Amino acid sequence: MSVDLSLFDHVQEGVVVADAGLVVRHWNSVIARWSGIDPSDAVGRPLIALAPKLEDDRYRRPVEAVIARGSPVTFSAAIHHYIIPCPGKEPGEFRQQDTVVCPLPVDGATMALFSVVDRTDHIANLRGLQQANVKLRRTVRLRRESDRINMMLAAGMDNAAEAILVVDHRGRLEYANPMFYRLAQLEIPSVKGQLLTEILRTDQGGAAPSRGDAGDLQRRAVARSGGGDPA
Amino acid sequence: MMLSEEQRDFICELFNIGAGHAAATLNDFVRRRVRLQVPELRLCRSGTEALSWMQQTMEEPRLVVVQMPFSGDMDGSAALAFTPRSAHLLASMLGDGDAGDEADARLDTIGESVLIEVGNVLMNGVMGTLANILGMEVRYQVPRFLHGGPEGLIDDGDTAFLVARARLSLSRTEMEGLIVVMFALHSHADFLRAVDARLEEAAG
Repeated sequence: MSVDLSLFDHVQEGVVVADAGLVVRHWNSVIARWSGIDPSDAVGRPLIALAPKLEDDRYRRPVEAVIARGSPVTFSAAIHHYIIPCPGKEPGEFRQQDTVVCPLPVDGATMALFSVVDRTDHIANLRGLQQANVKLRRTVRLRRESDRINMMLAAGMDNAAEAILVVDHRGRLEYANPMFYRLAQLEIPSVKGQLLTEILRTDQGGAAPSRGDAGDLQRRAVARSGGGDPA
Repeated sequence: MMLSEEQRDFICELFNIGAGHAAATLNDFVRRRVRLQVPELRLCRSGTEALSWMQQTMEEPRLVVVQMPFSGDMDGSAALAFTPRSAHLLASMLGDGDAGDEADARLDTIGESVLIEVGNVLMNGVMGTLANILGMEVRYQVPRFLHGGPEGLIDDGDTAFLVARARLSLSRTEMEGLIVVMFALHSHADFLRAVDARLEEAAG
């Protein structure tokens, strides 16, 4: 079968065709762009000169087997990074490529067709996503731990034998535990957000605590409000 | 048609020889100790039977599959199947880092390309050994990742299935998989005739 190798210049993958002696017979426009090597400089040269990994038996033998036995071979970017080196964005980096080598019958002979897919950006994006995923999982784990501790603290405060109040810097009630409401004989929703001094006045609606209880509660609340001015 | 014990032992031995070659190739590439054994093999005469045995053997209905069609003296396709968790583990250990979502053991495309390469090496090893020893000529197509799972392997045509359990050990981490060879029925008969011929030669 006669094949017009220039057809491979119209595909979007990198394509290299090498004959049984591993001499380059076609170097398509995509691989030329990626590698920076012009087809006129590549065709006719030994592929090993352009893809030094093929000096290694581990790579050369399977490629030779493609020509001899017709068994296709795949080289994953995640394991081998690349077969035909093409410079990456940073100096010293190479594009990450999935490479498939399959037999190509040309004029009664079998050649090796290297089909190269650039995975560089894809791998970088995946690694970025994986790192973000790891961070997110760590955040979720920390948040869960923090929620667990908060729930324990809340349960402890809800069941405390002492009245516990949290007020903001202006002295407005943010939180009071059930014991406070019981001692102060107050309705829970009605006083939240009110000034502590207002809450503890004896003319507050409902049954008010005794002066002694109120004064004591107020002193303790002020003492625990972290030094802010409750008034 | 059932396999005789002699046939089963012989085919299992061929699978093990091929798996040994594949393990040596993988070992060279990944610089890790790779061991691959085929302890059990079964001939299934229908897709339903093969699928049921595959899922039962792996204790997992979802399987990750790489398939490599072949033609020549035998027509059909070879496949390598792993549980999603084993596939994820294998791809992560062989490739550069995590090969997808670990939580649900889903593979990303990079993980898939690692699995395709493993499948390619393994199926070349096994099918190459079968073809060489049985004196058959077989041509292979480029392997592909089967997104539909093992159901995609099964068709309603006249197909016989050789399903082998594969035990892969990578740096002491054990993984279970399946090697499935699907023969068009005429190829299956040719295959068994070639097996019988080799057994007769060995006996004679």
